[in-house]
Amino acid sequence: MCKASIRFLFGNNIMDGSILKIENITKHFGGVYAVNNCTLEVKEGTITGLIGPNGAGKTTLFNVITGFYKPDSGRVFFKGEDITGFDPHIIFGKKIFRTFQIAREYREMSVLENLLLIPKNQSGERLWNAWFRGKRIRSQENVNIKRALDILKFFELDSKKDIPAKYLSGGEKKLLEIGRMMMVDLEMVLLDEPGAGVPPLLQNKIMDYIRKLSREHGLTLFIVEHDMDIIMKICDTIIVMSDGTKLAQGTPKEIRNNEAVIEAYLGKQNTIDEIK
Amino acid sequence: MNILKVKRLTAGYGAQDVIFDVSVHIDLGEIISVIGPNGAGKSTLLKVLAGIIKPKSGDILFKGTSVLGKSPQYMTSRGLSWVPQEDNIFPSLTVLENLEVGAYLLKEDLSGRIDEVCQIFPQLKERMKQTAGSLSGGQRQMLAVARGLMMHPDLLLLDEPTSGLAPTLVHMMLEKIEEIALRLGNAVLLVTQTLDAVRLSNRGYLISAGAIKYEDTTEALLTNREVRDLYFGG
Repeated sequence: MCKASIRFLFGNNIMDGSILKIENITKHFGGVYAVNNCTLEVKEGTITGLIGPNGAGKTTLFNVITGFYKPDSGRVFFKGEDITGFDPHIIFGKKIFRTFQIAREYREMSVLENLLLIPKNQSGERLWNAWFRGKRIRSQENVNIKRALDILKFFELDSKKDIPAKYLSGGEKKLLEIGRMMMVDLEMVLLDEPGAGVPPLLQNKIMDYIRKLSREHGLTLFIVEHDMDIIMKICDTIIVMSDGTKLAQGTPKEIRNNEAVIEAYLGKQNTIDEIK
Repeated sequence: MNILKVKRLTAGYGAQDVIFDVSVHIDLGEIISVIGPNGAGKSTLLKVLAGIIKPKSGDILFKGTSVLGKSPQYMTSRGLSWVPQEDNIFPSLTVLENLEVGAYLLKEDLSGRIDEVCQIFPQLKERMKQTAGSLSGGQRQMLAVARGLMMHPDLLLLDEPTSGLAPTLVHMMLEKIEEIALRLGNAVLLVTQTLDAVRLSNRGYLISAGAIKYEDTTEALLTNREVRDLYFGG
């Protein structure tokens, strides 16, 4: 059977274990090519780091994958399905979740409510159920509330559960973003700088949790982060972007010693050990 | 000489106090770090110093005179620049306009000053006509700090200045902060979660639940077992 037939019958991921494939994606804003003919893939069940200089196109690529931007050209495949240009809520329905570099909380809603609205297709969303299936709605809400409270406790935000999210500090808003991903069962999570603005002790706690999600539940994680301690510790594979396209890919050890990466990202004079 | 002396400051939002009885001081030529858990009151302290929030009690002496309740514009004109953690650029203005806004109190020609800050962040020079909203997260952070430098501040308040920056730029930023304090003799108050930035400072304060829990030299702070257990871990 030829490759094209296999792809037609089983989808792209069957052939090589990748859950996400980016093929020749280009996205420009005016004359600036934020992502330029970028091709890369993420293997299922792995933690993959995405690093690169500021303005390399990392967040733009996340926005293209999760439907916030439509690419000018190229394709995005998730589990073999072409999801290019799908709206964000459709992508979320495929169990892909992302967090933002600059936290985007629902400002007027309480911290607890910010978590409770994440699960999709809740019984209470339907008018009919609100009249005739009150018990089911309450039971589902109780499960969600318990889960949300456990998450807030994990992030040490439980004492602030009832205040509007706009009153959280910058770092706390980041934690709330990450907390949202814990409200639902997911296939893939894209985290945009989860460590920024978070104290070191809590960073370690979050990273331990992420590792656990990957190892025990097979969740695939794709993480943009500038903190090399985090990236080198938890990633199986690291992809380096520069000028809108993939510069290198490898294990943390390979990336640490890659001359082109040191020049483009880490600085000629510095090794990672010297930086941290 | 103390450029800033904060005495027993209590402040918050509405009826909710966030910082309690906080006292800090900074000398010219010093870099001071403020560390602590999320929500401890670090950013609130900077907002009070910048004149954004009026304190409930306490006093703030800047260059020897009380500036309690003074407006942000007054504080800027006296030589204090504040670079917030969030909402720190004007997204609909161009990079150049953002820099000009940062120096709106200066009457002189700004081109030389703009060239100076662009030497620190060359990426900004290439994007002068681009709207700030179209910059990447790291580029926005560069612009925010560059704007804070436009007024030649005597005291620079930086809230997480290295957040979102690539390692090379973190180093450049830290070098610049060091230069502001050591070479130019100005003072920098730094809120940070980055260990390298803490190491750069002369002294540090650990804030927890709105109150100063520890104040010490950076070396002593970093080797304090309780601080390590509570904050850094391991």
